[in-house]
Amino acid sequence: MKTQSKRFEIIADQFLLQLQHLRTFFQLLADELYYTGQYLIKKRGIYPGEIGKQFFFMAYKSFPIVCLITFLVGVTISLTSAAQLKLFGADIYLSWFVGIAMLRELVPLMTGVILAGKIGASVTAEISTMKVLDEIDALKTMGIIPEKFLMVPRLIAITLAVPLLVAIADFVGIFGGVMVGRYFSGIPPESFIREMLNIVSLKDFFIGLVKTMIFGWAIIISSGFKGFFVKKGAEEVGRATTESVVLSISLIILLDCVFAFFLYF
Amino acid sequence: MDIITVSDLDVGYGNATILKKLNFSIPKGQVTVMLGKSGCGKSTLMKTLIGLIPPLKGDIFFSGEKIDFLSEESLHSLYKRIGVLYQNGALLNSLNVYENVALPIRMRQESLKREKEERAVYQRLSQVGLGESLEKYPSELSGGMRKRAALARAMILDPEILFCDEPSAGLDPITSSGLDELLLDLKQTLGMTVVVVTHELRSIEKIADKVMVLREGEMHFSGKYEDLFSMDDAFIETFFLKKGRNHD
Repeated sequence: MKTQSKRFEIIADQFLLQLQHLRTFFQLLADELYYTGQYLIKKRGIYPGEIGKQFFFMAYKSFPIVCLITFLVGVTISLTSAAQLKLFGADIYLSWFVGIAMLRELVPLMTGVILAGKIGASVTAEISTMKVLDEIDALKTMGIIPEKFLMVPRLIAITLAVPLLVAIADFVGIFGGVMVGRYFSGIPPESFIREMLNIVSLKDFFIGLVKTMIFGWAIIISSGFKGFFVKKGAEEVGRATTESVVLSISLIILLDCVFAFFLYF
Repeated sequence: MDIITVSDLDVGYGNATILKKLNFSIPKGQVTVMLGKSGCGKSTLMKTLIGLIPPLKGDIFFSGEKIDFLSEESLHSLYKRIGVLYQNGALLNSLNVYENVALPIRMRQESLKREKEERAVYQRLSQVGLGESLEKYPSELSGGMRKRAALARAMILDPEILFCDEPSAGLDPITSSGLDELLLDLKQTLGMTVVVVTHELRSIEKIADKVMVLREGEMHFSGKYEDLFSMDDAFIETFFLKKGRNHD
């Protein structure tokens, strides 16, 4: 009986702890929205030039890996679909499938996952290391709000970087589909593009763009959340970094599912 | 005259009380040293005094003004008046020495002209002997240089009181002694109040005007450095004897 009540106590404690984490996460999200708005109005509270530095890191440094991965995903998805469509003699519809899938789903999802691994991990590692080395406390005692100083430039930078990355990733991913259409299904590139434009519109591009932007914000907030709440010790930095990537990817998939419900039902 | 007065202070995390019923004051323009065994709550006390950990009970008065830990305004007014030198310097690795020292100016006095900022930064860096290392990044500096750069940053806005968390930790005796000289110089030339958390006997002997000894979360001794050895106290004797032996 005693063991059972102890077990129940542990489960209840864990549940309350998770609730507390959830509350902290939403508190940080609300703070960041407020600080970003405050910065956009007053233009104060972040280090001069930091947005540009972060933008360079997020856009320029992520660009090659985003291109490579979306190209490969474009090729893979086209090869898989082309084989099935061939069975029904519907090869030309490959362009419809590739266009919609890349713009609305695969580019946002893959870009989000890449950014979670590359940007999210680095944001958590940086912030948690700063926490362990007392740099966050130092900022506070200098009268600087760390949650604003460190997070707002990253939120603004990802907002600026995502449209560029999405546009390039859409182009490269569809290019992968065009290649497969050309060499495996015998569809000339101009027919592929013409057919694709019959079904794909600018709306699809913007849906993908908005989704990726929201994924980007989710990544930055999750990474900050994991980074700021590290206590002490280098081993916690590694754990927080891993947890932040897992949290970001889980959030991306959850948000994608929510988007799917709103867009298709 | 006292710059900080603490009354009935309890500090802790959650249900655990680490510091109990502390009553003390920090005199203006003097060097006060806080010491005690590892884990006795020295760093926690310092973090409370600099507004990072809210007390469970009790009050802290800064120049007669009560610090309200729930008010951002009150905390910001405290942060404007203090400078803090952290144990490992806590310089931002993404900024060079000049940028680190200029950071408080750039963030708090944005309207200050570039020439004035440069003059202030050069003056502080020359004072700590780092006039030649402006472009270096923290990773390129030795432990002593990092602490001196952090000291320059802590002093850049001319704080009324400077807190130093184990300034000698990890430094060789010569560098550590140089840092002590700097702190003494600040007291003598600028009349700055300095609060130092340290274990180093040599430093204590050299710089302390007032000493506060913490023992298991309580104030064991608070008074002039000269009075420390005139009292017949087994804990203090053992503490200093062991420390003294470790030094030799």
